[in-house]
Amino acid sequence: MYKKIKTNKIVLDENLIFPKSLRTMRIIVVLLMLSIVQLYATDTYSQDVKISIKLEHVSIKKAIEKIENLTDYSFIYNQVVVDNKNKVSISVVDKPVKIILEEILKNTNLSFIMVDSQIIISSKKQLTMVINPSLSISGTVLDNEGITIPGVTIVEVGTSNGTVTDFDGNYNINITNNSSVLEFSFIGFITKRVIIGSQININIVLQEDNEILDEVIVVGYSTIKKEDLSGSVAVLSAEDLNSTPVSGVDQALQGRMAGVNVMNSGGQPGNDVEIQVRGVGSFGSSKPLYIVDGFAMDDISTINPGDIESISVLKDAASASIYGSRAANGVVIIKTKTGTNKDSFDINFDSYFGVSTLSKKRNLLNAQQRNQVFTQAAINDGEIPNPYWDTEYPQVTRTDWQDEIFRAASMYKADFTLRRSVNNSNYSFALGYFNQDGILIETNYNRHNFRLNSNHKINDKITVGQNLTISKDTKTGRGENSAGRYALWSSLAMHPDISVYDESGNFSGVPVDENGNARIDLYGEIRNPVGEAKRNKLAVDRFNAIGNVFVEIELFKGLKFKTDIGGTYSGEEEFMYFPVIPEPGSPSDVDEIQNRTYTDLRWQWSNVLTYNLEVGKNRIDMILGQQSERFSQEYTYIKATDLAFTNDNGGVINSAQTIGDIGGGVEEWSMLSYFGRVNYAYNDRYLFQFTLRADASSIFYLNESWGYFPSVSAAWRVSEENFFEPIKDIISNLKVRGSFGELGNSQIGQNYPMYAQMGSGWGIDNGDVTKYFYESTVPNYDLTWERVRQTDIGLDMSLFKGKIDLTADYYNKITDDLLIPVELPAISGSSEYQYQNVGKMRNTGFELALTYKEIKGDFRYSVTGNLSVLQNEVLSLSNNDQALFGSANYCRTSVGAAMSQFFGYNVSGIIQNDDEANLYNEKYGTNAVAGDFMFEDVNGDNVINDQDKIDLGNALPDFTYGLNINLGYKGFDLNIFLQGTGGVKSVNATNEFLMFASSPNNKSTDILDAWTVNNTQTDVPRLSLEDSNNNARFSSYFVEDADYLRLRNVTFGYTFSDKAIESIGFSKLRLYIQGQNLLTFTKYSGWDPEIGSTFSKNSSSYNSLSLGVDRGQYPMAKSFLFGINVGF
Amino acid sequence: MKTIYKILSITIVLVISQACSEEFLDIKPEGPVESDFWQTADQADQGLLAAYNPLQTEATYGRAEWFFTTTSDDYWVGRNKASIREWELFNMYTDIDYYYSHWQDFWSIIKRSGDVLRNVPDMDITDAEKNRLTGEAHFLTGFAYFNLITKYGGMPIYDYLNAPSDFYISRSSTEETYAYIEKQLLEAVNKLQHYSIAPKGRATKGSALGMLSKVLIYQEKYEEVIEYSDVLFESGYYELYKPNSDPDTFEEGYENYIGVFQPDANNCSEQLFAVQGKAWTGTTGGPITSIVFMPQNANNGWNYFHPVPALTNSFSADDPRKKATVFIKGEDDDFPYKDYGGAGNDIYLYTPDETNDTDMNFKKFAHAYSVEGYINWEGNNNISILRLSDVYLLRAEAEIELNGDGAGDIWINLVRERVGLEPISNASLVQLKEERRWELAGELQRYYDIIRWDDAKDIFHNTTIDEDPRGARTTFDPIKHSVFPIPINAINASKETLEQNPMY
Repeated sequence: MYKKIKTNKIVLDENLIFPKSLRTMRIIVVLLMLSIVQLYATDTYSQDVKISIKLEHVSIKKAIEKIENLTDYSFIYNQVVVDNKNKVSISVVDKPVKIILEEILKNTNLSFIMVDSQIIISSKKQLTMVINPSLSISGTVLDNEGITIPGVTIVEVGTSNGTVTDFDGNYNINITNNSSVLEFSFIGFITKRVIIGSQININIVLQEDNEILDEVIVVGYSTIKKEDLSGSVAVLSAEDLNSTPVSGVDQALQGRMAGVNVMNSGGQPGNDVEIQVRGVGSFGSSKPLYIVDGFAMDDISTINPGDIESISVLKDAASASIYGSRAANGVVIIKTKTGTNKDSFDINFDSYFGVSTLSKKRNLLNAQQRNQVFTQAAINDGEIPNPYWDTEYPQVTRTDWQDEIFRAASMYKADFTLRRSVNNSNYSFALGYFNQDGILIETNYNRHNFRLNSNHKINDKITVGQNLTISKDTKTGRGENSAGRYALWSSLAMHPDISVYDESGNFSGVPVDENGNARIDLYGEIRNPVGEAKRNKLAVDRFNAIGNVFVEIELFKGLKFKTDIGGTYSGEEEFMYFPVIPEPGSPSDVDEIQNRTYTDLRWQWSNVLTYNLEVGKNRIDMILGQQSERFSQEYTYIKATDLAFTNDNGGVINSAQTIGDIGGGVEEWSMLSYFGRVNYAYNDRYLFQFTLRADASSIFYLNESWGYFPSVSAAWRVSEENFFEPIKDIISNLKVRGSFGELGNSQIGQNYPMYAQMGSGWGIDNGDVTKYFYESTVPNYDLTWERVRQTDIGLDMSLFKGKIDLTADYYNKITDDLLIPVELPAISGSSEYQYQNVGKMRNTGFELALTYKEIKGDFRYSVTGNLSVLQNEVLSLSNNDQALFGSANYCRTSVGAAMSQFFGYNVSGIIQNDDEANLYNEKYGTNAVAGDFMFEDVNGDNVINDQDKIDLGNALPDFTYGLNINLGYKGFDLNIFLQGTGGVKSVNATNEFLMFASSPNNKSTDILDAWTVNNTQTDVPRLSLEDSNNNARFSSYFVEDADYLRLRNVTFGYTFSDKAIESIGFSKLRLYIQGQNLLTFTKYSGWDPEIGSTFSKNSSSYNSLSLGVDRGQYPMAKSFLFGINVGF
Repeated sequence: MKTIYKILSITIVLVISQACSEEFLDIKPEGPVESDFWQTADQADQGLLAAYNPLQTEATYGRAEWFFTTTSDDYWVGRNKASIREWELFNMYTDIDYYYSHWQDFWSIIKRSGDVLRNVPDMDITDAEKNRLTGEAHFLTGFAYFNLITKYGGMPIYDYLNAPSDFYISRSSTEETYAYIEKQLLEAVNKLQHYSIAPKGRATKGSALGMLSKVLIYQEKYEEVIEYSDVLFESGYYELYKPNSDPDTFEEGYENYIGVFQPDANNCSEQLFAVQGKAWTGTTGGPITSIVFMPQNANNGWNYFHPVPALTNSFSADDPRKKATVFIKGEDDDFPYKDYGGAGNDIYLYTPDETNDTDMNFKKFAHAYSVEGYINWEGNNNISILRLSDVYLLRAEAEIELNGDGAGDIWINLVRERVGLEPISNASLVQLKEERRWELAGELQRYYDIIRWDDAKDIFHNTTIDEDPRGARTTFDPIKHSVFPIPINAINASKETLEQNPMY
């Protein structure tokens, strides 16, 4: 799904596919521009440029070309010059161009005038025509479809005289001299100059500027025209981003690009979102490399989506290999908005306000149903039901805990942007504010953004510029889904007969018996969910700054040098407070504070030469560069307990009376790189690209430290061939592409693999707490990058003059030397796994992006769809292909299957009667009764044990898709965005405690369908407190189909006509309403089918080995927004 | 143009200067690396403490040691913990997380002790310091191997003098492993000081002698048991904990015995070797054993390891050790539990949890709370691994084995005297075994004892449901189950150089 990026473009891009409305809106901008036309159009180019030249018997045309090459003058001339048969000779040293030209043209019928840096050559006759001081020229400006263009700027070149076309495209200008040249310019069209001559009425047809409308795509260290692209790059432009207001960039990418998958790890505002490009390519981090304004970033969640001009995702090896050792998981390049190149002054204000709610509640038992379930469960076990369930207190349903912890939450965004261009400088300045309450009480995320980008043309050779982006964001509230902890889990587990508060207004706990003991055996060790939300504190404060300065120098025509130096700073402070919990259930006597701080500093310096050469039909673009980068992180950790004073936020660390734990350290790495790329195009139809990057990293041992990452790609623009001409009306563009290359991944989670580091801990020695040290790591001198070899075959096609655009890609991506945490024999003493390059994995996929767009009168529409099909297979693992297990052993990764397979027993059915039970028990030596699960004896050894666990599916989607529909009629626009996945399984791990009476917490209403002699057509096993058959063990029962189709976004907007708003001083006014996640079609029984990896990211265990295990994770919200875009 | 060249030349010079610099890529960790460590005596001691630390984890004496031995006839897991329920019925999984962690913890002890033994001899510290550090390391090596051999049989033996680079070596025989253990403990005996001279809480010469006696009796080397236990007993440094020096009432006997498991007895001379406990100070670390044994009703104990009637019924009525060992519903329900239900309310009525099928809990380890009050997971009490009374009984056993009934009376009666019981005479092996069961109930000895005595099959196959809720456990196979299966992860990590025990 290629999207347009327009350079030289001012704001208000949303409607670019609707050119007419755009034009009218631009009028205001153009009028503003006029006020500074005076500055722009003055003579700035010295007429005294002196050159030395020696020519013998050459044509006038040749002589002019020679001068053009030696200077920055450009010549405008017509056929008369070309036709002139005169030959000239000249030999001068250090003479002004004016003198030289006079010399060359002296014996001809040609004359010239110098206007700015342009020299117009014409016949003497034309240029000496009568000067009429009040010559009035008028006409109409049309586009190539014959539609008038209002707002076209018309300037008499060399003067400050100018006008613009009116709403009907008409203009009228008084000029002084009919040798003048009129310049017609309008954004998106090729500027046209006309020598007036004898004409009085000049009607102009402006051609759309393909150079501009041609999609220029940001690739590594430079840009490339879409048609020259031979690799696979997906692009998202600002207009795409603006069409769906989201809190973070990562969310904006979801479902928008083929091959780019976003895995949410819960819907808490401010949560990290994991982006995957072409599948999970590593057991470690599968995060792509993020490049923001040229700088590598670890996290893009702090970036304001409103600041982004474009996002390019480099998907195939040929595109990504310019980033070498860090590109294995793809590269996401983000460019923030810069000032415009044309003189302009825009102010924009975007804002929305919205409300979010929980989209789906779990149905849980009320008090009486609960009593029935536990009573029946005891009866089924042959026990006497606990008489407590017949007493008074448990008969009353007092609380719906989900209602108590979820809320309708508000969100608000305001973005202010100012872009200005003055003389040869342009600026872009932005402020942003975003605040979102989570649907879980006490959760919130807010972010402040500041950005200042500027560019300055010092002279024609040198440009300097800078980018500065600063953000501060804060995430609060505990939205985790840890079993036994926090509000989300507890809201499912806590019994309905418990009230939120007791009579004295304190949080209620589990009821107590006559001795004052908590009835944990009946109610479970569960904390008050509202208390969990309100008393536990979590605040993550981050401050981020990215800044750089660059100088770009044109050394000579075609050769540019750019040096770019900058850095990023990011500070993160995580504060946690764990309260005293007095009420019965799962009390805690001591409160605790934990503080973690991280300070990351990264600097990077890159030096890049670019060279463009065009010789005949050959076009060569080259870059050659060098880069050094250094990263350092300092972190500290402190835990303290027993606070003497607390406050609403928990407390401060110096009120703690005991230090619990302290930690900290420094992590550093550096990297030195050289890279080069050559793009060669012959006759615009045969395209080749060669890339090579060499990286050396401090992480690896010297012999392994240099890695070389080459790639090659080629494309054939079939549609440019002569033989294609007859069908060009149908297929306007056809390109076939192929690429192959190698990439690396050095994200191995450790920086010093070749050192035996000392770990430390606290132990007890004769009653005292003492610190101990031990060798915690075993050096690995052989460690090197993960290597990805990727082949890509693709096709780009446009049909019916661009009404249909199609891009298709097939790829095969093999990750070799895959870093696997290899468990060393325990005698190694290593408490952690050692990373070794021992695994191999393949991702094979197919991607399709299809766009259809049409404009019919006032009605316009476009439909864009994308589909990604992906297959993952693990080819080899460590220690004789020993399987890897994820956290909590739900998932296993083994050779020959996709990674992270749910791994457990297979339930083959429910035992329906005593005879079946006896048979089963006799065979397997079990204690099952009718209503229990029959577990499959997979290996047939007549024992049901861990040897019988099998792969039960996985959470990697077989395919993902997105469908984006835009409809417009006059000022109205409607956007509908659907996104979905197929072939996904999830484990609803909450059912482990919601569907079995053996644990003493509340249950799902689905348990009412439990097996009984009268209800045998069910998949829910009998109720039992004892669960002697261990029905609750992890099995296929918990694995569910988690495919979904989600109506992610519906936006309905209205853009006011210029006439309506110009009186109030706006250049643009659009109002819209939007619904997010309005509908979800899924069979999944949990809160939300979007699960991703839900285990702790900070743990040393690999979380990508446990995908799709839902332990009651923070669900995605359903939201309604009202928004406004204003331009001044 | 001049500006261009200026910028360019400066850039080029800078680029070249940094590109040529190897230093740019040479980044060392800021934290301690192995080559910077082992410089001072304090550091060496910190390295040694790292070898002690694994004893304090959940996977060892925090609770997993009891999970292993729920196979015994004294207690069962008593909670719905499926993998352990199967385990105690001898349907043994090899993928139980705790057992793999236990495996890793014990090998960590061996590895870290080996680091001490490798580095300390070359350090610039006094010989006395070297002897103490290496002596303790030898003891820990021998002790860790002994813990492993009783569970799994012969183990791989690594050369600690060279930094181990080949981790993939196969198992030695049981005999070779025992020989290695004896060698380590003898080194420890030679290098360590006796109790009161050696630092408290660390292995002493007494620890090494006592442990050696036990290692020897497992090999039925009775003469040597006598030889080394004599050295221990005759040193004069070790005695039973006896606040009431001459107990003649039940209460005095009770106080003497329960006292051993209370903080006051921490690192007394009876505790030849013990996991170090500490009061909750807000810092993590230290065994959580006490909370694990606490009944759930008592403010959220974890309610594991319930005694079975086979154990409690075996005590004679006048034996105060029964009261000190277990809570039994309906008998002596007072549990002086500090500040329970509010300040000054020091009495808690023992009520077993609804799910407790035997209506009994172990009191020994949980009882520390009666003194300290419930503060957090950690009790303040040490968890004894080797007590002097254990060695007395080992000695008695060796004497009976060598010299027949009555030869062990003197040692058995030392143990009985402390709790105020009448001396016995002409004690047989059967009586010795009972005495051992009572004295060391719940202290992780019983299962390994009945295995080494070859009594296990008899006991398990003939237990009634009244004695043990599990009834007869006929799945027990004395050949197969003389050792446990090695955790599957350990075998995998060894690239299968580690051979699984037969029939697993």
